[in-house]
Amino acid sequence: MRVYCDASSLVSLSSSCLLNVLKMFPKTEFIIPKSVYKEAISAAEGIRKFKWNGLRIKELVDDNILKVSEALPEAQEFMNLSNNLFIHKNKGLKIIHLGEAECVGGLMRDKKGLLLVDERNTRMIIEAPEKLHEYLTNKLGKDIKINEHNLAALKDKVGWIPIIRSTELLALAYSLGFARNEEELEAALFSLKYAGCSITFEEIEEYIRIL
Amino acid sequence: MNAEVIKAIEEEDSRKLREISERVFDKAVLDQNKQEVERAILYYAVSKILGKVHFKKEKQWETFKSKLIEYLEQKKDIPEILKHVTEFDREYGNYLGNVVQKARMKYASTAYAFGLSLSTACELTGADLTEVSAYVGQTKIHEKPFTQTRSVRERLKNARKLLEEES
Repeated sequence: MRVYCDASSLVSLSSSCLLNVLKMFPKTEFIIPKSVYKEAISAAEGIRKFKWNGLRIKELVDDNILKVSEALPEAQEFMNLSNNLFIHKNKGLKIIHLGEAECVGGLMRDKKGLLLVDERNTRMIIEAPEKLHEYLTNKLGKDIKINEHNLAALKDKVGWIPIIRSTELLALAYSLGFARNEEELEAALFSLKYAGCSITFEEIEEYIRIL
Repeated sequence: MNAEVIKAIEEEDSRKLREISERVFDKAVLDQNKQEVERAILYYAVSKILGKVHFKKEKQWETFKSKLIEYLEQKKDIPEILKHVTEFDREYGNYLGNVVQKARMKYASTAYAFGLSLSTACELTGADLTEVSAYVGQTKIHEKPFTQTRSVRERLKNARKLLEEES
């Protein structure tokens, strides 16, 4: 099984000192596209405040737990579709970045696997683009049109992609023995939320109930 | 617009400048105009400085302000004015992170709340991903009900596909 990792998840896991979660899945291939490497590692290396965060992720690359992948043409296809999905003044709103697109591009090529992404908007483009459109229109109070052709193409090409966040990875790792008890699990879930994972308090509470 | 900004600085009206900044940013984010985003960041950073009493007690305060106004009147390039603001903040501010970085982070978070992906928001504003991610985590952005696109059970089911391969 391949899991394409977006920078947002690697950053939340690193900030919460939970990158070791990845080591709980030795048969899984965690893929980090080149652009994500640049965002999560190279960019952080140039900033004293975040260098340690980046180095911790780099260690996983060095240990071959995270495998760096090349850019694929599918990434550009996803970017073109997403960044011309919402139209304002006859111009597409650029919503998706190359890093996120390279993750999705890998899945489009493989036609199987999982996407690990903590940020909200890439997830919504894949799972509920109409909801994001409604939200954008309300939030910005402007006339933002949706490109029906791109909407249909996105649903067809990426609508099937199963998405998990760092919190789901942690929950699974818990069932494999990561964290000693429920209290530690709960604390780690909250730590990921505060580090930027797009999960609600309600969802965390549900996790605690069902796990 | 420029006259409005200069007036707000002359009158040390932090709130007014913040309002102008937000107005500029809201338009710039929709037009995806990086130059205007930089302008919004500049106004926000200056509004933060105007709002802090300790800066005004500094001997260099009036010099800083008059040079800032001069730059705006001359319509100097935004990066040059940002440098002037950063240098003043670095010298007299109380925090290790400078006020321009904070402005970038704040607006990256706003752009993300508007619907841009986190990385796109960082690219547009020049903010750092790690910093913005942590900042967003302290806000209520992810608490909005519409963001729950799948149930926890369904997402866990997806994740369990990993376990099937592990066993």
